[in-house]
Amino acid sequence: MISFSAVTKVYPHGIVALRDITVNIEKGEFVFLIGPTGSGKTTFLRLIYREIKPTRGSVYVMGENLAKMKEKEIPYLRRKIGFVFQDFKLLPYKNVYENVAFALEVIGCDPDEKEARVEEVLERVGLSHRKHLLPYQLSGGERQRAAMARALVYDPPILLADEPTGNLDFEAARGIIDLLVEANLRGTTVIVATHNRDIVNSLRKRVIVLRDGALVRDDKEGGYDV
Amino acid sequence: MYKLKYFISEALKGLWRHRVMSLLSIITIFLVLFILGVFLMIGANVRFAVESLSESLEIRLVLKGNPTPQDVQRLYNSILSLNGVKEARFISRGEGLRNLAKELGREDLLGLLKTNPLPDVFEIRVKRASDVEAVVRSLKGWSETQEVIYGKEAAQKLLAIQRFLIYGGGILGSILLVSALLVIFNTVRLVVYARREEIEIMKLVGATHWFIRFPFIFEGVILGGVGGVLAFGALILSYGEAVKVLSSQFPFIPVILETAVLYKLCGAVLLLGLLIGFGGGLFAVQRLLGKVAME
Repeated sequence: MISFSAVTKVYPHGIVALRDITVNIEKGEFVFLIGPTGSGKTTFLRLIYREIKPTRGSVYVMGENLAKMKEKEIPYLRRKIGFVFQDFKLLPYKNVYENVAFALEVIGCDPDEKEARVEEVLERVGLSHRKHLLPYQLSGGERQRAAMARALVYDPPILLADEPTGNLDFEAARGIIDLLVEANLRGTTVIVATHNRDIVNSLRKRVIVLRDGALVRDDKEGGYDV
Repeated sequence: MYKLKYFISEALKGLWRHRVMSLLSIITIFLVLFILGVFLMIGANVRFAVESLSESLEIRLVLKGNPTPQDVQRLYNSILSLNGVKEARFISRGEGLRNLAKELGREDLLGLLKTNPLPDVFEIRVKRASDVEAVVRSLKGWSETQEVIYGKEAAQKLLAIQRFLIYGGGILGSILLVSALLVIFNTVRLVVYARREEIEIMKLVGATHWFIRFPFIFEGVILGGVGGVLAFGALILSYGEAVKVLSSQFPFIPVILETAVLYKLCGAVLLLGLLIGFGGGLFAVQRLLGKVAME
């Protein structure tokens, strides 16, 4: 499903973010991407949704070589990938319903289908009763649930989460991880970049560890520490 | 159709959400277009006045001897065939003397003179001051010509004013136009820049570039269009007032009263607003879209 082959990413001014990474992630896997700040986790995710191109090596997502992908094809790749970020990236002037519906509007979804899908996904993340509230009226956990709903609303085959629990207390973080696990059980490939030791240790999923841009550990059912 | 409605509604919502900025942009666009419109109107009127004066420039072709009516007709046709000649009128020596007697108030002048000392002449009017010299040169070359009399200085002065209007007005107008373009362009760009977070999210959720561009282009067109309509209205109203004042204070200054010309000028200002709004919206969003693709 996702394949990195000898990938190196060097940013301007010679900053090396990833060094010679080779890794395969199969369809339906749940992967934790861990490592200290600046180890290359976010760069790893940005390469998957073709926000950036590798300096060397190749990245394949669902059989597509992203280095050779044309600019106009990128939106269609992203419709197959859901995103969740630490800072939620919700539009502050749209309520929960509108934020989720926005993801369908931009891909030109039919209005009736849009309504049905948004209602269904809000039910799934437990936000149906809060759908008319604006982001600032929600707790951190609820905001991340709204972001989750937006990521899941078009049933993407891949879900990427960059520190999705970074701004949340334990209970709220647990709720978000439960939603990620549930999406994974439905067949979505999930990759979570995180610093949350408790969650990584409790789930015992595949763990890929990066340090200074290099892959230092790849455990099938790993923990946060060796 | 659904998409078009979506784009327009998103554009209107976007403008309303950033209403202070939108309002400031509209005011800026209005002022810039209004100033440009005023300049265009002044330029058109000065040109109109110069052309009106050019029409009153007169060339007198004094003929040798006693031309026959056939000669007069032939000369008349030759004069009209010259480039730049608007009209010509033959004044025989008899008519000339009668006119002179009338001007002097001496009806007995005809009886006092034994012979008529005046020559036969053609009074010629040109289309533009710049045509005078060429017409005079042609007339001087004819064998029937005794003398060509014309207001050389006046023609040259008018010609200089016309040249100044063409070159000076062109340069000044271009500077003003480029400034107007830059101000409006940057105003629309600022409105779009304030929305970069929205653009980033649109890109993340898989919106195509054209889907992202459209609402911003509509916003640009609305900003430019509203500014243009306001400038159009203000120009028409203020021109009417200015003409009233000029006609009462300086009735000898010729001004354009033809409404078709005014509407054309103001329409050009409105169209300019729409076009720059369109361009500003398109290029601003294009730059934001291009930023990530560059990396």
